[in-house]
Amino acid sequence: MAKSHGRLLSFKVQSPSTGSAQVDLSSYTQEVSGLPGEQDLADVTAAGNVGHATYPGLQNATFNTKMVFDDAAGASWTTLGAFQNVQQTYPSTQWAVAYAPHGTTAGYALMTCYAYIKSIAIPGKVTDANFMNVSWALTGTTGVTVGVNT
Amino acid sequence: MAIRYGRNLQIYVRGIDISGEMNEISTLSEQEMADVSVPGVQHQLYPGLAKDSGTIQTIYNSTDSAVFVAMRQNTTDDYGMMIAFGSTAGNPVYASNNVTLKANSIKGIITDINRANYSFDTNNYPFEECKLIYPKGTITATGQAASYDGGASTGLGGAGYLQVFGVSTGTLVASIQDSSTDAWAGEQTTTCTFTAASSAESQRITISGTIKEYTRAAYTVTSTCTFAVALKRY
Repeated sequence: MAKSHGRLLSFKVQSPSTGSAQVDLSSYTQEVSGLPGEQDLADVTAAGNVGHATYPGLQNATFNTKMVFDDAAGASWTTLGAFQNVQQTYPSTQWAVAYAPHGTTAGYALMTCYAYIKSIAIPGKVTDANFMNVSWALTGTTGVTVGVNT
Repeated sequence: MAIRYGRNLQIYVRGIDISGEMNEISTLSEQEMADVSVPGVQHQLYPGLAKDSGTIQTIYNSTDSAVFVAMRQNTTDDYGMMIAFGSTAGNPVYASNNVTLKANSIKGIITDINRANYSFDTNNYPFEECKLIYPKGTITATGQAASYDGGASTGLGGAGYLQVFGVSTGTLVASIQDSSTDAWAGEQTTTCTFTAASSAESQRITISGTIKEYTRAAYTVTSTCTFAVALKRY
């Protein structure tokens, strides 16, 4: 059994902007939840079934990341903050997301997908640092690919 | 890393600084997604309209509250809001000149100080991610502020945001200048000039074309003025 701790996670994104490179946001990421995501299940129960029967349909992942707000070059806010304008400017190109829960060591689990950002919430409290709660939605044509780091 | 702490937040609403009473502000930037799923592997989406909203929790102050009361049922006049994650040049700023009030609640309870909660939406134009060019400051004579290095020239235009907190007499004419070299020896150009202000207000101005690497606020005044300027590069 290979347990893993969240402190080792890796989270990287590539913006829809033309010519953008992959950006490693791991050092700003506190939490990733929701991947590899859900799947539509059609209820195809019919006479003779003992229990409800289901048939898998489209993948349907929404996932969330909690990050430390950081406006340095290549940091969380700088990379994701202008998402509305970026997504309206490049509506046919998605963010390329790569999430490795156990880190980037070869052979460890890696999930990749294409997604849009649905929202970014920034709670600002005088008693705390600033954070970003980013909500993502899977899109594209390839689904979530579950593989391993190379 | 440039981590920001909530205790450094500055909130300006149409020339009123409510930072001193602010406990908490939360902003939510959203984008509608149309489901364009077709036969295949997964659901597919297409990005649509932006939609921004937020809430502010403050210690009740009648002066600050008056700003939000004035926003009620105001169908002709959106308010300008600037949320600065600090008060140093280069600090990130969330700015919109199209903020509309959604709810306003003042809570009075015998066991606590009076507190106020406000919630707001943006009208058409969502918050823009800016840099603070001129942190809130007071000047008494025409001149220019220190420059800020934006890292590189950008060529897609942008927007300038101005919050005027006070003009004792006459007017304040604020502008943003830019330079490729940071020499400010005559090579600079004026990127945008805000409308003359004679009292507390907020403005947004669209900038076209190239914004050079270095920018600074410039001002023409005949009296004591307090203001802040932020810049958005597209």
